[in-house]
Amino acid sequence: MAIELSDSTLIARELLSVEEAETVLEWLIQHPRGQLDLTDCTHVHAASLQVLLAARPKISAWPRHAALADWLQAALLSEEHAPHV
Amino acid sequence: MNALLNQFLTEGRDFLEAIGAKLLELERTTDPGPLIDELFRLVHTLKGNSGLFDLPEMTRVLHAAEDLMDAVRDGRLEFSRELADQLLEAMDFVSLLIDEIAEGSDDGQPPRTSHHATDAARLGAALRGFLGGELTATSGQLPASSEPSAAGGGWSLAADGQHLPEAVRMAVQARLTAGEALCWVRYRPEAECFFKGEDPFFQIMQLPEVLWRQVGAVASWPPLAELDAYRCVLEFEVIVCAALEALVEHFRYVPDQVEICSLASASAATTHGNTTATTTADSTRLSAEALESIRVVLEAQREILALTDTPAWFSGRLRAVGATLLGILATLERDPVASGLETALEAALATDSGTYLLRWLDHQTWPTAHAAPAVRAAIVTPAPLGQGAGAPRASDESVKFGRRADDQLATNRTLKVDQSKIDRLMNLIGEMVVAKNALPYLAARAEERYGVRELSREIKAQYGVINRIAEEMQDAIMQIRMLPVSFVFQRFPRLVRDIAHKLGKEVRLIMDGESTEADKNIIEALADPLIHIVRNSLDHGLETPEQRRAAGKSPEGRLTISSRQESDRVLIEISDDGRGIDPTVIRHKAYEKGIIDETALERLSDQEAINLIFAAGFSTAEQITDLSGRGVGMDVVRNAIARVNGTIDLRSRVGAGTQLRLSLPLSMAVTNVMIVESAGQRFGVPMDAVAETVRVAQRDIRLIKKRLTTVLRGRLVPLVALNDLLALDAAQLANDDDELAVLVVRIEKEYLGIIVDDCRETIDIILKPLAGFLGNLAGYAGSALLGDGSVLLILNPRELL
Repeated sequence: MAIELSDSTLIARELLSVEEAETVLEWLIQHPRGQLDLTDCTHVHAASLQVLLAARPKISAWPRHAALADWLQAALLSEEHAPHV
Repeated sequence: MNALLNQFLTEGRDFLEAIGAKLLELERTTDPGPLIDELFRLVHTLKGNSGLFDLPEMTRVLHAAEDLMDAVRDGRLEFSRELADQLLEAMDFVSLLIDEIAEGSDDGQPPRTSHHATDAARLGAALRGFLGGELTATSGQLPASSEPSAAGGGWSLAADGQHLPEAVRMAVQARLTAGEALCWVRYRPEAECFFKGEDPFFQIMQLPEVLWRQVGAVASWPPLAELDAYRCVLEFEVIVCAALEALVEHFRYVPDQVEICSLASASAATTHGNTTATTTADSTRLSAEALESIRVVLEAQREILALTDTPAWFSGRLRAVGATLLGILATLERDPVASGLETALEAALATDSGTYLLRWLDHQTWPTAHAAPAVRAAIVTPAPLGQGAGAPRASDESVKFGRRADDQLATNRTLKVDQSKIDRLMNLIGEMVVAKNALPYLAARAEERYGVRELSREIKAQYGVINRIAEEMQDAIMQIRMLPVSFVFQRFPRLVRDIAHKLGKEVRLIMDGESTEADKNIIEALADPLIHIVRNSLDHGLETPEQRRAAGKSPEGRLTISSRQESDRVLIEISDDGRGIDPTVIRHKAYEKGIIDETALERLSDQEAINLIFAAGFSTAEQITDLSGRGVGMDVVRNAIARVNGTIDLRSRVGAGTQLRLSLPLSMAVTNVMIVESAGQRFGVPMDAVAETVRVAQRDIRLIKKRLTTVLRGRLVPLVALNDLLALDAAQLANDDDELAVLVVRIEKEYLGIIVDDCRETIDIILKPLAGFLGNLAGYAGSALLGDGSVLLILNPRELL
């Protein structure tokens, strides 16, 4: 399993794959204040990415992978596409 | 080129041809049902095949064509002439791709065809357009013209760049000024893309140097609880530092989901300000080449209008100019009424002079093009300007392929040639070989008769050259005619299964060496005899499971068919582990049928008795079945094999099985023989029978049980004199050292020495079987014409003994 779940944090290791999109979504619905630790994450599949975009969770640690971090920050920190909820 | 791709290209052309033919047939037929099925199958197969390679453009168009045919097949759509036209155009496009791939693939990989991506998208959209309904919705997003930069609403830094952060805008500006290629890309993956295994984010991440990025949803984000993680709603927008072509290539699998806009030309708009708004709008939309075309066409119109002659068709000329200018306006997306073209044209027609149109031309602002001379040359040279009426169409309209079946010069790499042409070539090369063989005689005559040794040597040298070329030619023609034996073998599994089932026998068929190749004639001549042999084996050879069990064998019989090449012969072995042939039964059968008389009955050896089954009119089956056993059996087989200079050999052991071995020449064109001399005559012996030639001293020849023998390399070799075999009343001549020339021949793995007077050179001859009254003569394989015009008899050592 590439992700570790607890009540407060979701830790993603290496790849946040397409299969995990559903799991992440479930977890984010159940834990609206949950935080994400993406330190070791190297890629997020687009399916998981749109879950993150829709949920806008708090990211406790951005990926060490520079390119991915750039992309995620651009996607998640921009204000104009703020989520509904 | 790798074999698979090669095959795909060859088959692809066949398929395209068939599709074209079917489409044309469909227009004429009254019962389209079966034709449409066939058409669907062809398109479907071609699409499937194209999917084996990295050819997204081809697959895309074929996929659309397949969907369309599927709809027609299901009756959801009516077949129409327009539909056929569109399909034909799509097939022309595929044909174009195939030609391009065939030309460009040197390393075994198909070349990139991404420069056809927009054409593919257009054709795909056009095909899907017929399907209507929900599918047109997706095609609406497709880039409508050949220039991807003009896709959608486009994007310009001046208008859309306002919401960019100041820092990004500065950076973009700086890069553009520095002459770097920048592109704006919007990527909206389709909703179902995750199910196709795509990862759009990965695709986006792979882009080089991103200056600005934005990730959002196509619509607004739904509440989290309603979000379907596996329906893609993402939208990516980026400005990257990359060339347009590279990006088109990057997104070539999803061309309908991306919009790409080159920012390079937009730089003019912002740096030079808004002085001529329409001009810059035009130039951003059109490529440099298109602009240059327009310039050239306008130039041509000026020249035409400036002509001073007034021919009878002057008004027609003016109208043509007017039509051309109208076309240009349409290309530039300007309003022809507002620009006053029509008024100018009317005035020009009324006054019968081009002045009004010229004046109109001068008053318009035309886009300026800074095209390289090369571009200009490329545009100007191919089409003579003349009236130039059709030229503007070339500017930005999607380029038609213009490849109808009648105007394409297909560069097909595979030829289908009528066999008779190849046969003619074979005969010619055969004659060439004979003619070539005359040269050594000529050389000998030059030396002996005319005493010019120099000339003789030169003729011999020349002979060497011609000989080499003739041999290569012969080899090349043989290669053309080669066919694998699998051609015949492939029908055996079914045949064996059916017959075994009918006879209530269990048979396992083992085949080996199907890829062995031989001349087409030989393979074809083999088909019927082989089937007969296999039937015989199944019918007479193999027992029923009960009989086999009783004999202590496994109930499942085994039939082995194997083939292999041995020097210049093809050997085919058919063996079974059945009951074998009983020589006693054969003897009595043969006696009953009057094939042999009583004395022969006693005298025949077991092997000779077994070979009696090759005698005409012999059949051993107790009852005549519909499979085999009508007395036309093995003699027919043997004759068929002999007709192609093949031999058949039968070995059998009672209870253990039967083995038939066919030996066939690889090719029947030319035979290599060795010339031997005996009693002042010359004979030929086929080289494939000759093992070696040696000189044996008279004193080394011993008499064992009245038979001459000698020891050769530690092996006892029986000797026979050729004069005795041919009943020539002369003794074999020995040379000065009292040694006899011995030709060692190999017959059935046994060696035998034939004493001759002398061994001479080997030559290639065309073997002609003895015909007519001579046909019954045993011991000769045939005759051949020599270069000096004499006839050479070719011995058949096997029959001779």
